[in-house]
Amino acid sequence: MESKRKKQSQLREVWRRLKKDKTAMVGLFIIIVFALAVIFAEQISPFHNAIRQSGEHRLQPPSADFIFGTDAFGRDIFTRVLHGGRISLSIGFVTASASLLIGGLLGAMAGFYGGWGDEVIMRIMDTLMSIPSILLSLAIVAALGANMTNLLIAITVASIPAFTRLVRASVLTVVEQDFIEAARACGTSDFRIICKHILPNAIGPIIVQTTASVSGMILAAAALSFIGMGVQPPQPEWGAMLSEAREFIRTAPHMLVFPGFAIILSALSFNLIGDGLRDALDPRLKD
Amino acid sequence: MSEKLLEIKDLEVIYKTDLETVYAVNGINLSLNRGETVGIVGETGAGKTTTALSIMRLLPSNTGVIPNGSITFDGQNILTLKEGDMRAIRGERISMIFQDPMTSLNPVLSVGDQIEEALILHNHEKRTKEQIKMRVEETLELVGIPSFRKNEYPHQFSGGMKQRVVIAIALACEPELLIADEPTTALDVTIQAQVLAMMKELKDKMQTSMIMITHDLGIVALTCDKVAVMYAGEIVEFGTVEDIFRSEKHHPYTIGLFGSIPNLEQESERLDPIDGLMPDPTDLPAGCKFSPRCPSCMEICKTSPPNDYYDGEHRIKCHLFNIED
Repeated sequence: MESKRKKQSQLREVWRRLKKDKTAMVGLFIIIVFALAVIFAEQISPFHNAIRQSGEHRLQPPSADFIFGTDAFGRDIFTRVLHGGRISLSIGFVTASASLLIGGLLGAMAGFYGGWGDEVIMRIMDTLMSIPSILLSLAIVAALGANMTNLLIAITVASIPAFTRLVRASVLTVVEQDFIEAARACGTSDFRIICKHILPNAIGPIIVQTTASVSGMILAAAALSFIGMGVQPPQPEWGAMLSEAREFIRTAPHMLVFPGFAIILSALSFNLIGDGLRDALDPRLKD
Repeated sequence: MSEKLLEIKDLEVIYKTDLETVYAVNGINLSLNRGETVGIVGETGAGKTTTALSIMRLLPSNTGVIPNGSITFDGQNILTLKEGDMRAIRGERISMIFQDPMTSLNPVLSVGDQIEEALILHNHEKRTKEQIKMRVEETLELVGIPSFRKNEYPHQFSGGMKQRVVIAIALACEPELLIADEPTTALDVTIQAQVLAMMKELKDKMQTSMIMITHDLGIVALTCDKVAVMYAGEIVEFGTVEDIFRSEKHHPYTIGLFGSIPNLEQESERLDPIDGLMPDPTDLPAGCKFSPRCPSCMEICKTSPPNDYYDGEHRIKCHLFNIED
């Protein structure tokens, strides 16, 4: 009971500090709006609107009927952005979390234990990093087959090395400090030292990297969709919509603007939240 | 006579890298009874901290090796213990206070959480959360910090207060042995006195044995029962505080140490430091390790290492006394 109350109070403390950060709050607001819109997408505008083609409504600019206009097949862009968000946001979220988890674990072990384990992990990461990430993702999707799950795997694998390196570097700066030795002298186990003493001290850059990578992940998914290796048409997806819009950039710029804005806004707000969280989690910063 | 808590026998520690081998501790013998305080003095690099880390079994795992010797703590040779068993001893039965309170506290955990950690890890009495919380507050009050400050973070404390927190962490489980590695080096003199007085008081209250590592002879006189003077990884002189401060017979190094601190009663223009530097620990002299700097060095000192000369419990590792006998 006691620990629960204590945990809550720590969370409340972070929340109190985060609340004071106006920009982070704006970011949080946008993300919540996006999340709600995506969750209730079916209620706002049913999925069949997103894939129904109509020759007479091709490339229409925004109007009362189609508030974001229509695309080259006469499909309602508003509905497509809405349902595309389901895919894009979950790609961003899932891949960022997965690479954080896997990369973070590998990096923490490499940094903490050092030695030949470190060597093996980092050399594998170097190898992965030496392949352009889009090519790596492409190879993985090509080998496993093009579907949503494999797309997630491909993007995750391609971004693991960056996380591993970052976490390893952050861990290395912390692990040498006296309080780690002091924790050892208290009889703390390695696992507990990593979780309770090292990661909280290294969390700043990790959070920023994670939130900043969400937008990169969305774009990577978009790039794969563009060459037909990602989300399969007619399923809408922000990146894929951008690629489709390129041909009509002069005649129907609205096709590009709306999904583009959706990507920009979500990326921006993730970054804002990340910066705010980093500051809120650091007790050393004076209130 | 009270029972032995810790006995170090012929302990040798080397730091081995592919480039060189550093002979940090070279066969020291030291024993400590319950409730007793032993001071280890010596200049930087004499092997004081290495000795302490060996007792905690916290030598750097990739380089630190103990080729010889044993450390017996309460009847158990801790050098042969499994890592898991050792962890159960650390923090509960043997605690350590580190040199620099500024860096030995975790900046992102509140001080209460850090004191709590050892209690949670070594919770044999099956204390409830509520009792642990009580104990944290109790420990804080014990070191003179109001318990309402337990939710504050290390940066909100001053240096002296931080060292009190560090001491509170070390004492939370009421250890049988407390190793204090230069606990006051990073503090200014007035705070030093406060912290030392507090440590002595707590030690007496809890019946804890203590190893006080320092290079300050004043601290030794103030807090210790026995003193070991270390030089180049050896204990060159060992005895009670009276032996070291009052006796006629001394190791030349101890005389040198006393010569380098100002004396209130004697008028002197300059202090009299020991000439030269510590020998290179990768390449120690063949005979007596102190011979290159020793003012009373003889031929034999350069070739054969001296044996211990005993005068009751007072022990001196020097040829000067062995020859007389």
